[in-house]
Amino acid sequence: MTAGSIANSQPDERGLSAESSLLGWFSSVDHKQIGLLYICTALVFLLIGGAEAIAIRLQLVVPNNTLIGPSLFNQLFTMHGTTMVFLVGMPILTGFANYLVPLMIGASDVAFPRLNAFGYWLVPLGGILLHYSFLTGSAPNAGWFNYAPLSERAYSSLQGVDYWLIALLVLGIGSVSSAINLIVTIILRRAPGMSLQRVPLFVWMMFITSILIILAIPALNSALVLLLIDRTLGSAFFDASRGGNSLLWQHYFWIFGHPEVYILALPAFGMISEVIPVFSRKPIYGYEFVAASTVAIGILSMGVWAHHMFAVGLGPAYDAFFAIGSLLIAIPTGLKVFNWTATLWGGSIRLTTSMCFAIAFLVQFVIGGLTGVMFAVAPIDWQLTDTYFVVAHFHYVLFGGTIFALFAGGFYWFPKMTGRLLDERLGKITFWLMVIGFNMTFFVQHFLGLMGMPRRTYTYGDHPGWFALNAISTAGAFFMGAGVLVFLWNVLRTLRIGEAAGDNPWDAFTLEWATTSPPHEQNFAQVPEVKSRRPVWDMNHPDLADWKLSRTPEDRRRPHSAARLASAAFIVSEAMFFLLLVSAYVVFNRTTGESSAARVLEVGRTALFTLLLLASSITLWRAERALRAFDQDGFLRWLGVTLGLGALFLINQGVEYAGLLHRGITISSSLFGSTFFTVTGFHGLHVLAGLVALAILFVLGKRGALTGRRSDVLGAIGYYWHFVDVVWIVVFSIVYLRVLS
Amino acid sequence: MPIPLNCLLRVNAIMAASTVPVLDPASPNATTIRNLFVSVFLICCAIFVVVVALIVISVVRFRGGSTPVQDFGRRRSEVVWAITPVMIVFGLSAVSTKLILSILAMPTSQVSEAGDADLVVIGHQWWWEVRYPAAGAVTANEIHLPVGRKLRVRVEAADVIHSFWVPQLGPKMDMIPGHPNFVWLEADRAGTYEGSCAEFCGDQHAWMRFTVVAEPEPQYRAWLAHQAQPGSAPADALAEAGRRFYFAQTCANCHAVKGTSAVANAAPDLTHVASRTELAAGVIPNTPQNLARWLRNPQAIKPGCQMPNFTLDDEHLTQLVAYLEGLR
Amino acid sequence: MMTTWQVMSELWYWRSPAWVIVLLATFVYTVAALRRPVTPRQVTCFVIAAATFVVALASPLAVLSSQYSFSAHMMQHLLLLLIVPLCAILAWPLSEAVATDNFALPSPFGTAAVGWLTSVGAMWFWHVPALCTAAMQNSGIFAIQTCSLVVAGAAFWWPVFRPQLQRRMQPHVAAAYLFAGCVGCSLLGIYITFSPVSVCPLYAAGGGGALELTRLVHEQWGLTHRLDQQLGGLLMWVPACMVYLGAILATLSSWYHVPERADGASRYLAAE
Repeated sequence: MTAGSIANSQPDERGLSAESSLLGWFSSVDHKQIGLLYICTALVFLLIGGAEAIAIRLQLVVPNNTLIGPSLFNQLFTMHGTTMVFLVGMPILTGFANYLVPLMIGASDVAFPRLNAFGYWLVPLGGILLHYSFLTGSAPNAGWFNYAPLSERAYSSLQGVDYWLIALLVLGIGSVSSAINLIVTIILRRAPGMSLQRVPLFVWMMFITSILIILAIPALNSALVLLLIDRTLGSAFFDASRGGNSLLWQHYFWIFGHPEVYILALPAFGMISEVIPVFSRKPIYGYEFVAASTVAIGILSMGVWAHHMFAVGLGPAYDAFFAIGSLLIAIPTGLKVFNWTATLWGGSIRLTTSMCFAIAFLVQFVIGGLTGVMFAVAPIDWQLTDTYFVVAHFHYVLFGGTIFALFAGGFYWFPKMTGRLLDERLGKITFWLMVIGFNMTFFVQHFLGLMGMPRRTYTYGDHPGWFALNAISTAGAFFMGAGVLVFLWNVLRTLRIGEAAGDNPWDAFTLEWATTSPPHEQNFAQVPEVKSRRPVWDMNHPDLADWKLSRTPEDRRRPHSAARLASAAFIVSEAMFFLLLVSAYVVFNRTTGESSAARVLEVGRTALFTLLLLASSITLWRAERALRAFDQDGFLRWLGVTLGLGALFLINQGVEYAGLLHRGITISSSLFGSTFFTVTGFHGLHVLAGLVALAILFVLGKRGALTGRRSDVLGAIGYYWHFVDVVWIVVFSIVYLRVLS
Repeated sequence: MPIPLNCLLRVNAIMAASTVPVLDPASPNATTIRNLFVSVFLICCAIFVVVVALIVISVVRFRGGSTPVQDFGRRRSEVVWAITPVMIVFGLSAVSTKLILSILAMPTSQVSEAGDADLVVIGHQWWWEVRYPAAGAVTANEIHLPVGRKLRVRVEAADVIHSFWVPQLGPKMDMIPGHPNFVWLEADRAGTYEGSCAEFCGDQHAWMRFTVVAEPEPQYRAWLAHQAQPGSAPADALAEAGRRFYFAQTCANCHAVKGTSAVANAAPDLTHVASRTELAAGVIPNTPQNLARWLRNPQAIKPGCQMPNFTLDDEHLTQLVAYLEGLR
Repeated sequence: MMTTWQVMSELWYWRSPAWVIVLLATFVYTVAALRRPVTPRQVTCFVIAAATFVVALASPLAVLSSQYSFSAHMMQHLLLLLIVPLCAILAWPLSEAVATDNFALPSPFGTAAVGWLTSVGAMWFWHVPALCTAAMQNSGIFAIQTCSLVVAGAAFWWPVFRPQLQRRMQPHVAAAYLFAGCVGCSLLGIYITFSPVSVCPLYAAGGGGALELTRLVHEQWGLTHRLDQQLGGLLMWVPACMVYLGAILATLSSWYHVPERADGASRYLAAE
């Protein structure tokens, strides 16, 4: 460990230089700084969300309490949920991923550093937007899942819900961009020898999480957009009194909402899968099972959303199938718990604060998982959903699980990020305060649920037992608050006078521990040779090296163009967005399709312009071929034709819109109007975006800045353009040719 | 299952009946679900004990020490471990499917027919409209049931989504605008059961509660027949003054009284308001004093509720209370 | 009225051509197995494929799906599209070398795009109400439908599980490909489940067929037309997804376990 002792002197210099230039943080595109920004921002929001939680618990401490009125209480729990999910959970996990993933795979930075900074800065923007609503007199108050029609203007006339919608759209864009960035980074930027089968499990989990993000967030976005149109333009997607469908919101929300649970949980699983092996001095047991079960969880999570809707009366067939689908998730999850436990077994366990949190995670996550199994059995869900039992359940998963894993990861990686070790004694105090406080607060809520206390009630009558349990619950919240304060004190104290950590204080296994603490700008002076899943272990324990004991698949060739890969990932996310918008069209136009839709649309003319749009795909392909062949004139010619065709298509759309508006068909006049303008309008916007991008390339090409050597940029935008055309084929068949009605 | 169930029932008995309504069911469906819950709970407990035991043993036994054997895992052990969860999952799937079908079992031909529900409950922000279509009775926040007879309940919503839940009588069912749902309501013993709205529905979601009274068939019939009657005429001059005030002011714009010109149903029907046990969906017991308090300023008792503060003076208040107390 | 047990025991199409096809296939397989060694696992796969084929086309399932139950009809399609071709492909002896490739099928067959399009396309195509009805009324069209489902299924599974190990799709690409297949089928399942429009109106009509059976399905089993269609959609959606998911996990596990050979890159190029 000579390298480590040499590095000991470094943290001070680095820490000082970084702190001294505040502007440096604002303009930074370094993944480590952005990661820390994410984490710090999330901590600020954690304090806000935590304060909201304490206020909620104070209101509930005695029956018939009047401390906080119903309207403020509803704002508080809505903001608590929204803040914790979108401004704490997602940013802090993204922050850790940003910091750690490039280090763990031996890269010098993420694939798109500036996109990374963009994604981060959307988080404070969204957060401030959301909290600004407090100043307008009404924060959002319809709950974090914002069920329509309560969230419609008729029942939430103040602007809180609008702020909520726009803030979430902003945050969603940030999440998708960082997810795309991580996917491309993990696929392309791995060090030599670091095959996808050798990446640390945290990286693997982040990979699946990122895929879930690009699939799930667009579902939320489409729901948000529809509700925003309802609220601002007067359509009636979710308003049953005008023909809309309030269940549609629930479907769309939970198509996002259930994968979201795993978006918050999988990175935590990843952290645990790093911490437990290191402090057990063993490799993770059954690496491939932990990894593959993640894939299974990811896929299953996309198809079980309706288990949040067992009580809405979908019918026995739905309930039965969704119950089975949800129960199946227990198998891969159970497998994970087994592997973590088996990793502990036979190890030599070191009970550091980090490890204590990991073990508490394991126990509490098992409780949350088991109550989850109960909820998957639909008849039990019918009784217990929307009671405090479900509040207890998801706090056991997201707090007892994810937040505890974050503490485990926080204590574990803090020395890498700052070069100093957090104080273990204060750490243990934090640990016990959190464990006691957490279980006090949430364990009793299981009983409150069985006693019939509905969730989201601002107060309750003096039913036998309710007061005592609520009082215990509130007391526990203060323990947790104290725990967080001790933790913050620990952090501040450590930053000033903490013990220097050295490169690898835990004798850990993965690549991030092979560099200095904190790592310098380029991350690694030289990336160690990667021949197994634990390169640093191999380095420090040559006679027990992993590659001697267990063979892992070698590195293989990878795709080359980051731009194209990112474009493909973006397209996947856009496809999901359009899928749900088009579904909304199908839902609202299948029964009434004959009368309104058929007569007003001029199919023949649009068919002609459809052909023009399709032709533009061919001309763009020719342009790309010319560019690759270094035929600049041909490239510009074909690109010009593409731009012209796209513009013609948009002009036709404009003419068509004008005609419809002239006949009095608007976005608010009927559900056909609403869905038609929404679907074709969003497609038109995408065509416009594509045209702008192509026009920029055209200008660049004219100036000679875009030549055959950078043809993958055109290729990436080409993917997008072809995708927009494919979407139009679908839209045209469904809206104009009415193949589904 | 009987043995563990008995244990749990004894625990429940110690905790006094119906403190834990979900575990103290009073209808066949709720009982079925309770039994299911108890068995799943016991399975979960067993799993929890095994996992925690393994964790504790490993932490105690393998704490500290030198570098252990580097074990990368064996495929066989994973498969062996997976057998238990797979079996549990398949077992639970079968049981849950069976119960879903039996609890929801309802002649489907009837579901689409709106008229033939025995009872229609409509959720409003923040009260319950209760209609007995066959008898023509309308009431609010209080449901009466004959013991041992299943009523088919259609649940609807007038504004936002609510959820109809009587923990002791069976599963909850959401009330969704434009999507009427059906649920069985049955009590196998006489008694009073509390219900509440379980889906967040705005400011006063907390005080959207109701009472279910299960009584023997003859009493139920008598109650129903009485509820179908028009409201009784004012008995004295004070009440008569209250009646006049009721119709002179805007009361009748929202509240109906059967047999008068007041027919609106934006707010609870007052035809037999004095016969009900609670006011304002469970906030306060229905006594003349509380009624006066309520009329003086509803917003002080149920902030955000749809009934504004009419700032009534004492004289009119007394008259109005006298009239409403006569509506038995 | 018939009991469920009677249905299970009596309603077999003993004169269905499926029996002949299975007998012929068994004969061919036996001959092939004599020339080239097969493992017990491959034989098992063959038996499953043959049995599933019979179940799909000659068992009570086939009777029910002929005009009584949409969900049985969906089950039949799933077996023909997913199980039969998959097991049939897995039953074939593996071959390591590219040179002994006896399956020099025309090149488009076996590519990912074709596999995906044919299988997802076939499923969507045969659930257009008019075609669904036509296949039920005309035995010629029914035969075409059956063949096209099996062929489409084979085209789908071929790139992932073809006997030439060297030319199989890369496991991680296969995982994405299978997921895409899962999405295609799920969307149809979701559409059928939630659609108020009757996908196969003939089942709703309930006319024709044996009254006894109709009553058994509708009354004793409580399968109303709406429930029946939901069940069919959900079958297409959930269990079908499980098949894809299982295949994904199988390919991923091979990805983790088989260490890459040194000639990996050249092999990849050869495939192109």
